[in-house]
Amino acid sequence: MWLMIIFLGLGIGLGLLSDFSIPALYSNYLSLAILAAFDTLLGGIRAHFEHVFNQFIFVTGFFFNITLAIFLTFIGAQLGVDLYLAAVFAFGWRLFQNIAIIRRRILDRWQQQKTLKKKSQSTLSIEKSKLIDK
Amino acid sequence: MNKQTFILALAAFFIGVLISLHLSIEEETPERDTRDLWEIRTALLEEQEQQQTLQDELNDLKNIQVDYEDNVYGTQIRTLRKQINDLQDQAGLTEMTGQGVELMLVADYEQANESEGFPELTSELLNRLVNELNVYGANHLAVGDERIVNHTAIRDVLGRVYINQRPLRDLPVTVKVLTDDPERLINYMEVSQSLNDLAIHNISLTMNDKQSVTVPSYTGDFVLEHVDVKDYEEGDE
Repeated sequence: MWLMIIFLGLGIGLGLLSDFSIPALYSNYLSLAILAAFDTLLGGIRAHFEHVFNQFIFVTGFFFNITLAIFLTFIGAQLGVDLYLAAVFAFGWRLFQNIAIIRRRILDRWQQQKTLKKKSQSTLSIEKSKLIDK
Repeated sequence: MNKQTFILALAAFFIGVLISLHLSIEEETPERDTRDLWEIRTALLEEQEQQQTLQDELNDLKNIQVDYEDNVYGTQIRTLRKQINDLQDQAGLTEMTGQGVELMLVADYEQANESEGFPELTSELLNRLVNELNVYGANHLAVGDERIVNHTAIRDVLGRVYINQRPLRDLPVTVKVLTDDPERLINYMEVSQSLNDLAIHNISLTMNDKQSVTVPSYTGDFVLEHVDVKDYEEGDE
């Protein structure tokens, strides 16, 4: 988890340091690409927690989702329909679902660790008292 | 290191780059002022001049208001009459006399080829000429005996030029211009585009500075179908 946050910061820093820039015309496409990438990343994290993470599916899905989102925006711009809203809706919906599931997994894990600690402490104390009794 | 985490971290890195690109878009949108000192000074001068003219107009209007608010009945009537006259002058409903320029459009047979026939004045040429005269400081204009007012249409109708819905006669045509500075207008017109355009169409333009030029009044009807008159409401009436 920490590694991801560090890499995210590293990416932002590197991007800001580089002189590369995109014309304001494409800001719509870029924001949608970010949304799609975020959606896939969170999907990956969720799969990781559920132990069903598939490397191949994740990498292909990552780039495919971004391309699809940009393509949808492009088509929408050509047709004069705000088609990118469909992508925003779909990705936004999935984003919330994934975040909810990830949160639940993390909380479960945390609670499990807590109970385990308690159990081990209580068994330790019982064994200690037994030893003292002997 | 766990391979899964590393791939997820790489994806996060990619997202970070995308986000930074998005941030750099926002940074570049504000337009930079690249004018140098001289250009800024010129712009400032222009603005000051505009402010001055606006202030002058405001002062005139305020004077008129003061005249109207004067309790003496005669003064009010006089102001009203004066304003009506001024507006009629502006609209072109009165005959105007003053210093100005008389332009003669004459067919130039020497330049014309036989195949080209009689040189013809087109509405486009006339439109351009009128526009240029207006730009160079003409106050009142008349082409032939037709006064040019704000909504005058210069059109080609079946090969003839119509002004104010009336046909213009063939060349030569006189254009009368009232202006504050005739010499300046002539100087501008000497190097104008329309002079060249007329020459291409074998029409020569001669200009005479005159002390007294009379521009006829507009005789047609004003079509004000699409003009709304808004009531002027004042609070304490």
